[in-house]
Amino acid sequence: MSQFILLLLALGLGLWSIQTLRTVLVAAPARKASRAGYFAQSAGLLSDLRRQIQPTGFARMAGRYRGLAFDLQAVPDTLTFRKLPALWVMVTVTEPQALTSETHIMARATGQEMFSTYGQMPFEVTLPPDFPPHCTMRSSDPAALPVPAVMHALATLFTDPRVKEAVLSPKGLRLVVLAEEAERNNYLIFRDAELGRQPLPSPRLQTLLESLADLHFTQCPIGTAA
Amino acid sequence: MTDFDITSKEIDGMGPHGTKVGLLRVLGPAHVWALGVGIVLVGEYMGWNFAVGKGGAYAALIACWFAGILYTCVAMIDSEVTSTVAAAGGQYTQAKHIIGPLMAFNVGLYLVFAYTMLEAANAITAGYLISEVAALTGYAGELDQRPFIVLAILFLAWLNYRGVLATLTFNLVITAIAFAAIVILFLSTTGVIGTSLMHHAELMSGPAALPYGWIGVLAAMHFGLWYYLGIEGTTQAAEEVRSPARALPFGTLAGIMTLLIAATLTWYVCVGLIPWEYLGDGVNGSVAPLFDAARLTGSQPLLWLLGVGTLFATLASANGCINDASRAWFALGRDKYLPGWFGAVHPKFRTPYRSIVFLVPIALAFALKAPLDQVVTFSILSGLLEYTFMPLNMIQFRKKWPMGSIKRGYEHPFHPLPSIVLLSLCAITFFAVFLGYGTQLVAMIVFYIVASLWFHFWRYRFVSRAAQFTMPWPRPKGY
Repeated sequence: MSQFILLLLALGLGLWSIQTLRTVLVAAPARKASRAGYFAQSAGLLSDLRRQIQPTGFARMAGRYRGLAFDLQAVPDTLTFRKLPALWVMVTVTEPQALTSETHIMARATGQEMFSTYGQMPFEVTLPPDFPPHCTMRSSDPAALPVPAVMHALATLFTDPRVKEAVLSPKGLRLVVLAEEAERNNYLIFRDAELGRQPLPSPRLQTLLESLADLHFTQCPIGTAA
Repeated sequence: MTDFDITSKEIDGMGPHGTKVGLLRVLGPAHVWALGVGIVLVGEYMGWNFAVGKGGAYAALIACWFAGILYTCVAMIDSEVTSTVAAAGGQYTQAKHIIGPLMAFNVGLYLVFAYTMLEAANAITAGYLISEVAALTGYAGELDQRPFIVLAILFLAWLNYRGVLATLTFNLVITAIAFAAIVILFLSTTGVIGTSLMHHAELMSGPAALPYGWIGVLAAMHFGLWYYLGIEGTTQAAEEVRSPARALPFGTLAGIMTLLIAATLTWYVCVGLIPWEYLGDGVNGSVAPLFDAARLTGSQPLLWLLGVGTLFATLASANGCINDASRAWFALGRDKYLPGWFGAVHPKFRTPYRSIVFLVPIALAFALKAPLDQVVTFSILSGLLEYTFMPLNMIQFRKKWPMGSIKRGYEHPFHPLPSIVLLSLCAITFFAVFLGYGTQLVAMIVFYIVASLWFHFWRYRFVSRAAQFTMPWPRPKGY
């Protein structure tokens, strides 16, 4: 009886090993494809499309929306300590802005965000009261902050808890939003972080593109030299 | 990215895995179970039995329960601070905001060394297990464990180096083996299934019960922490946006309950099968007590089940330790508490590769040169220092930002009682460590003093002071 149970155990372990190996071999190309096609659903939103695969395997896309040049990046962040790994989507308007300083508004700042130079900004500035309480602002020049209309628009954007950072600089505008987080159970046990298996839905990205385009035109009204 | 109603009062969390608010859904059956395995369940498979060597069988059980009280206080205190400090980062971030950079530097070191020593202990156990399996399958002579210790650490370090791109997508079933193995062993040996193999009356009679008297119970507190060490980190995988429900300590307390049950089952089975003198010697005697208990049953399936369970638990634990220790070291580098060189990110794998590589030889040195009880002791001491910091942190937190001055996600009750209880239990445990491991205690304290002096007199000049405090809190009371 004991030999039989032993055989069953060995068989179970063998089957599990084969299944795991198969999962790994099948999962690797599928993962590569899903990361490369992360923005695939949204490709139709942009004209003059250019694509690139980042060293991380995630897609990067650039093109035009409402006549403005946009850049899209997906950045996996597994460098966090005591926090679930996250996938950030960075949407950037790469058009010159009527600004002389660089300003960062960050939600739940740790100062160690890998995707941002927030931690290196020299001055911390008090935010207007209409921003959520967990937001902080830093700037390279507190005397040259964005206009109140832009700040008010940003305050509305930050009511969405998925919005992580807004960057306003002479070179462009950027929004960083949380796209995904790692599955909790797998992370707790194996520090496993499977991100980017589902593409970014097009409506969500379009909302971000619209928000940034509106922000750009508020910052630089049409006819105003940047 | 899934669209859902973020204003919903029924759904919490932010990711696509948001769960319904409410106690039962906060815990979730798989979640409760998952809290107990991985990094922490390995404490049931090895290391706890040194408590038997210090005070006898009953002492180990009493130490287990008192350690449960200690960790309950840890859970309550930690939940209040975690729920209020929106910036993630555990006790390290808390120390930066509430006490200051020197304390944060020390807390960072506590975390790194607690996990690195645990990783070394896991590797020693894995090496032992492989050598025992070799002996059981007919290998003549004694198999050198060192290559397997090195292989285990290097393989897991390589996995962590590759990071996200090397996700293996393990099936959760294999972790069920680690927990189920303990339950099956309990059912098989206690007479629930088949004949009872227990000999508690014979093995625990006379002086065997408390061989060193009540001072032995005190001494056993030293290794009582090993049952739970790391749980405060295991359950602190914070989401980007934490809902108030998630801030409650129920998750951690559920994990402690899971471990308490597993620890009691483990203790009951092992002390009923293995003489306390052999059980309590985890270096030359019972290195992996559950595995040895299974061996004594004479049942081959049980032996293999517990062998596989031990191996999975140790490797899963070591993997998490490498991950957490390297990220803590990386965070210290990013904050300039350590040379910024350690704060580099691999351009392709997006991992803290320099921190990972740097810590490997430290883990190897302890795994290859130090006996298991000393490696476990170093890990416990670092953890103990962190638990000593926590009540001091809590007292300062309530003093600088009293109730009502800032919004707290969770307010733990009966303050300052949990802080006083935690501080008292930590003091008792330090004394327990001193009983028999005074040299290690002194060495550890000297190390942290020297490190603190280095930070204060040299390293602090590189720290960007304004960058340490990122929370939009009002000025502390009295400042």
